[in-house]
Amino acid sequence: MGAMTHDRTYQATLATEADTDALAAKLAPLLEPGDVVLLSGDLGAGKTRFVQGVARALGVAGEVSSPTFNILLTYDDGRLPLNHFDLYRLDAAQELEDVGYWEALEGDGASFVEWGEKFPSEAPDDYLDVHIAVDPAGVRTLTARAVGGPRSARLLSDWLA
Amino acid sequence: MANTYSILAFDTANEVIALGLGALDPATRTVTCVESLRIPAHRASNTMLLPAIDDLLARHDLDRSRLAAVACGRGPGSFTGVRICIATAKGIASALGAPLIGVSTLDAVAWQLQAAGARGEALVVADAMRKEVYPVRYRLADEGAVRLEPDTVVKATEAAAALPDGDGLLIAGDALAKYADLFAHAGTLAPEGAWAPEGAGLLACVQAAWRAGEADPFDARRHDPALVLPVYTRLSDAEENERTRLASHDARDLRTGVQHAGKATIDHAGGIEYRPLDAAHAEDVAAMEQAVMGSDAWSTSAVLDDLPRKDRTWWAAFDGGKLVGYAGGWIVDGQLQILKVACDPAYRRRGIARTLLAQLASDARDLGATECTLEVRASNAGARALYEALHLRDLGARPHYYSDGEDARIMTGPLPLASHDVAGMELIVDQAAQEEESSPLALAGLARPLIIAIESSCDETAAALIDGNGTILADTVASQIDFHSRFGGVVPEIASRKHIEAICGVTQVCFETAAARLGIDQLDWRDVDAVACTYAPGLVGALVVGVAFAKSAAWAAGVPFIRVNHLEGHLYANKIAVPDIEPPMVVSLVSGGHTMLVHVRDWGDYRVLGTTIDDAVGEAFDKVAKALGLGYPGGPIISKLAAQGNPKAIRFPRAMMHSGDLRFSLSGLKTAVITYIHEQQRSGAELNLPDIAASFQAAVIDVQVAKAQTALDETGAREFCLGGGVAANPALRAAYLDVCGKRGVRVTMPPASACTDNAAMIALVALDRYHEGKFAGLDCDASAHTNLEEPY
Repeated sequence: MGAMTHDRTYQATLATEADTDALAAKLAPLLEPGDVVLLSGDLGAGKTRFVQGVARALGVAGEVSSPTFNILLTYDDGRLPLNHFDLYRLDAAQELEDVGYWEALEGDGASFVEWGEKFPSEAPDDYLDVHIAVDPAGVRTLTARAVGGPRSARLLSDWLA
Repeated sequence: MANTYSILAFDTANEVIALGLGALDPATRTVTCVESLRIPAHRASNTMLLPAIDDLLARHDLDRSRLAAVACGRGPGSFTGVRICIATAKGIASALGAPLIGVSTLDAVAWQLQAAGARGEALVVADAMRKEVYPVRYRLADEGAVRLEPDTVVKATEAAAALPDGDGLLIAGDALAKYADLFAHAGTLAPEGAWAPEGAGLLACVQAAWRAGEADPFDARRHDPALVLPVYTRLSDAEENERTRLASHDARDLRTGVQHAGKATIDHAGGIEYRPLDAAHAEDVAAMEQAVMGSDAWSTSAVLDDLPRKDRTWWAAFDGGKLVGYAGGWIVDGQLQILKVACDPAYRRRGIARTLLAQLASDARDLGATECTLEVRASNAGARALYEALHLRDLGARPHYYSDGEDARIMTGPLPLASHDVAGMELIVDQAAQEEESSPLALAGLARPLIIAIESSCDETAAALIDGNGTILADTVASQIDFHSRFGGVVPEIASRKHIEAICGVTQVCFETAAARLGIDQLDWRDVDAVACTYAPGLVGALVVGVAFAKSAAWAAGVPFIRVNHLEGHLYANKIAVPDIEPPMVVSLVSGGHTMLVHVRDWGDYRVLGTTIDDAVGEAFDKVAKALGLGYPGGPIISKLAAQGNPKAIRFPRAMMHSGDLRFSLSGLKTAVITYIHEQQRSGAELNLPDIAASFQAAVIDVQVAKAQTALDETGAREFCLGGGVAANPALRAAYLDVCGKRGVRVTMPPASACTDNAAMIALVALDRYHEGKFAGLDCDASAHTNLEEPY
């Protein structure tokens, strides 16, 4: 499914939503506490769908909905706690503190952050960058990149290599 | 301890709970520490603080009603931690009618070092997150700990680099957990056990303030719990950014910002709008300066120079688009210095100057000011009378202060905050209750239980009182929507900040309103049989304030605490419209955070038939409005525009219309609208806003109505109800009335005011819970999301 384009970058083509779910389900069992995935892509690219796939594979039972309104939704009933952020409505990096961004990222769960690229200076030291692009035909391309330390590189190669 | 006066002190600004019990001796102004604790509370202070307080009092066999005073740490520290601490303290002190004294978390650490025998210079440095710290230097002497500088926030590396090498400085504070290596060169690190505050340090601060005349633990008037606020070392960043933006001529920002929204920050009766002054109106200010200030008029460039400064606050009053007044202030050393107050002569005697001053005062208070000073022309009797009415007193003359030689009178006094100031917001009293079909209330023999309910899940701080008959005696809402409209959405930091400022005022007004309705002099916490609060779902930082306040007040008043699911409140809101409504029924809940169809089989027995798999309807309205540069909240703006547009002009997708289930998807529609806007803009075509709004709204309504019909088919329910903020949308209401009318299904719609968040609906749920005996524990916490189907 994955094609290596760079030593720490992988790409995958997602023709259907089932492909998105399958790729998300493959990432879920590899996640460890403290892992951070920043998700980027236009409104409607399928970022929330991807997190829903991860949640399902972690064993989260309830509905996983967009956290745009709540900024952070945490699911504690899966294999490990899942923090789902959507920073769309935030305008200043300082607001991250108020929504418990740092406490969650450094806590005992895995964190998925939509619109995290809005605050590049606030990115953690070691994280996975996942971008989803949609072409006019509706075909999605997922590009994953390990940024910073060794943990994200290992996570990436276990996931897509 | 039966015959002594006791004080309870606590702090949760850090990862620990500092807790102390003290004995007060009024003769010597001494606070003797009875017990001092420090409990690790990693991210759990809201669940652990109140049980720890309860244990402490039980250990000393002390009834909570015997507490003479409460003290709490105001930070600086973790935003969430400080808010939990202050909300808890406000709840306890309010319900006891006891004074609440706020102390500095950092001072408490310094006093502990002093008490442990340290002398000489000390530095307390607290973690401000984001690689920043709060450093404060102290001189520790036999007499006590003397603070040498005010609170600031600086980069940890800069704070450390500014210190000379040496070993004379004693360094403590929780920032050392991260930055011990950075600060080690500048002195001696205190033992790790002395880095965080504990109860004894807080009590020492109270004693010092008492002896210095800065506090009096027996003066409840002076230490009204409403007055204690967190230490803010800076304005909320959203507010600060807005100031910077308004002070610039950046056309892009002005297009999407407050200029384009056409929405006033505060829209008082009389049609006068109050907004922060922006650069675009600097010329108007200068023109009015020329007209009314004579030889001391400021020029446009003087105004433009002053506007962007971080320690300034400027507000303006508008009638239509016309500037009719303005005021500017400078916040320095805990003082608000009024630089300018002016009002168009044709608009005098309408309270404009007073309102502008209240806006400056509210900003100044956020920045730590407690007093106000100004100069006024000696001959300006009208202005002097206004200031005297605001409790400013004449300090003396400043001879020949004005350039024409006239003397100024210097006046000083407390901040001229608006009466019943609840964080600069307007109070809407009894809107939902008035629309209810009110029955004549028996004044004698109030029906028990009397329950106060509090709601703080998102934009609104609200409180309501309900009696045993289910009559809403008072329903008070302090809306933050006007405030948030400036920022194009709910800004979380502001939401929780405003809740903590508003909560005492809102509950107080709620009691006063109910007392007036009952024809009695006073009603307060001692009269209630239970306290209820929304605990989920919503913004955790906002919910946490209501939960901490409400459960603490319940504990202090010695009555049960009831937690309520916000969504269940929306289901109950239909009772406000039709008090005898009975399940089974289908309810459509549509708001900024929710989109769902619920089968109410019975009160307390719900099945969620379908929810949105991505965005909520209200969120889609907000995002589309934002993409069109129309401001916040998007619902009313889009719906007003849509009324003038053609709903068939653009064919937007009806997602999941034929999915065969009752789930919704709004993300695709939102994307389609945004894509359409971008395409039109790229091709240079003018956007037809009414058509876009009408077509978008029609796509939403078509799906909502189709799924509602399926739900009615599936359940066989003969009652259909609406709830949530989007239920106020007139086109949606009309569509439901139409289809349900054809099917012979009764439609119940709460009054528009009860669709949005309010506490009356929470009180209605709480009354049922009370009768069921379902009460929550002292460890109750807020939660962002929750399952409506699970009984709680």
